[in-house]
Amino acid sequence: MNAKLTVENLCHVYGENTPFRLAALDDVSFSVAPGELIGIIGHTGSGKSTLISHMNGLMKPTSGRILLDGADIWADPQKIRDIRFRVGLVFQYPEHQLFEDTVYRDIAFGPTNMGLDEDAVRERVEEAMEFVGLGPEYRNRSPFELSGGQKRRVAIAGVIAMRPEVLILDELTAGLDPRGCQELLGEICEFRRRTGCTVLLVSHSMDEVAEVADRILVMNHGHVEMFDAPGKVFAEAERIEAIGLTVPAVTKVFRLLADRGIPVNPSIFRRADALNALLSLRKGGRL
Amino acid sequence: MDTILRCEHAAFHYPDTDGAVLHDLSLSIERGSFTAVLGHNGSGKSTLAKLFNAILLPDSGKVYVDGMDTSDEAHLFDIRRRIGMVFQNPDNQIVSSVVEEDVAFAAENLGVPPDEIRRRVDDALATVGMTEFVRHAPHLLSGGQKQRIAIAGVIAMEPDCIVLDEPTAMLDPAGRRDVMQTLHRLRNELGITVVLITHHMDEALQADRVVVISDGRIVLDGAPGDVFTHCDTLASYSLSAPETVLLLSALQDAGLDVPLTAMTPEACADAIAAALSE
Repeated sequence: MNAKLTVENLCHVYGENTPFRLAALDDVSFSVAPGELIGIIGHTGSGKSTLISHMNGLMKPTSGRILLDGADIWADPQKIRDIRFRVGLVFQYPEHQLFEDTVYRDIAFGPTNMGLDEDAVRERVEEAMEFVGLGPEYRNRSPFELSGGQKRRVAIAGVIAMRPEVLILDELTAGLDPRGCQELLGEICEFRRRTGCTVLLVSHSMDEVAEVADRILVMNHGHVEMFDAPGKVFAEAERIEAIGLTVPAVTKVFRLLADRGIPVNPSIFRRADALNALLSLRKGGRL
Repeated sequence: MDTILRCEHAAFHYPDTDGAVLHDLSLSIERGSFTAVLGHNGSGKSTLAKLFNAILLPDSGKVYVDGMDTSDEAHLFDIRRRIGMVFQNPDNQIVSSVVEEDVAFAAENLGVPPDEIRRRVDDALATVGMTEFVRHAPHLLSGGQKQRIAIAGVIAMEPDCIVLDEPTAMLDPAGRRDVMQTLHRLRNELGITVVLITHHMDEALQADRVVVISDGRIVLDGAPGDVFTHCDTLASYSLSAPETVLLLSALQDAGLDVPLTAMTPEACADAIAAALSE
């Protein structure tokens, strides 16, 4: 299958020719299939934010290329604006970027700037509000009087309303309570299921990434440390911990069980799988 | 109990809003203890934190810091000196372009003499493990490092108590671990009372006491081993028990004899191994 998004030998250097020179991205290459959900993890300063800022042309590579559907996004710099509509980027704490006086107008900002007519804009705003679970009663409310979780939904809806082919979310659930995290993650998964959108989810939470991602991209000091299915990534727990990250709590428990001589797969990361593995041990009567 | 912070029937609502954020809330924090405060978004836990050093005053009821009424302006300076606050976003708390100046800021405002400030800044940076960054620019540090600088600035005031409002929400796992280790050191080595507001159950697990707030009321209060075994109750307050407890609870439901109190990965693995070998 043709890749949706390909990153080829991407390098980005901050402060070239200054004493603060920093190679934030060092020869990063990977590709993502259409409709895939990729979790991106890495310690602070590993280059995650720099990486995703390249995906829609907010930053320009020092060298290397970003291909969207096989075409270099910088092939014609005049058209970079179109790329920003096709690749939607939701920053960390996006609620800090709300600015309009009603929820409707805030979400309509993106589609309006795409040059759509009023009816098309309305259709997209309504669709986006539905995706993030904001009922029509929110249309005319000020986004500033909403709760933190609702504000974040308005901000995400503003990007979804552009119907991006690739949706990139930086720290989607930071600062939300456990139920808020679950609901928002569920809405994004549903959005992806219904639209076939490719999703990149940057997160500090291993548990969150483990739950939803098809593959996990592990960044370390500006390069790709690992890029594989969650089970494969968590099988290398020592390597993950050596670069300042952690494995999910269930994986920790299963590694300790394996150390104690119990025949379990130490890379299990979902609670349901863990439960099945343990119950089958008991039924098997091995112990 | 030697109480450092005390809320007595405190109620609070924000101006021009309907509904109270805190209802008749009473809570005492013991000197030298490590308390975690949990609650869903909008539960009132950040408001409670602001009552503790007189950033906000209760509509009714009282808040006392070391016996001083926070509504008495004569005590304001003393209260702010004794209760240090650290907030979620480190970028909002950095005031200087050099780490050591930033750490010295609060102590300077307290009128501490220069020699003494030098000593306090050096000690505070050593306590948070940031000595080598003394002349660095704070904005070039990582989130976890910035947060430790913010904590160092509070320590340099030599407070009795430090109240932290989701200090790790923006940090990566290594940054979170460093901040948590720093908090344990403050408590264990300097005897500073720690009140930690958090959404991370694994952090709350490390406290002596866990207080759960929902809709402005205290709904659970006890040792982590007591509070976190109430999986369904926690879920009803939009919270979640730690993953280890959820796994143990599911095993219990399936008829395995495991205790829900085995909350650390080590204890959890031991409990499961023991139950399987029976």
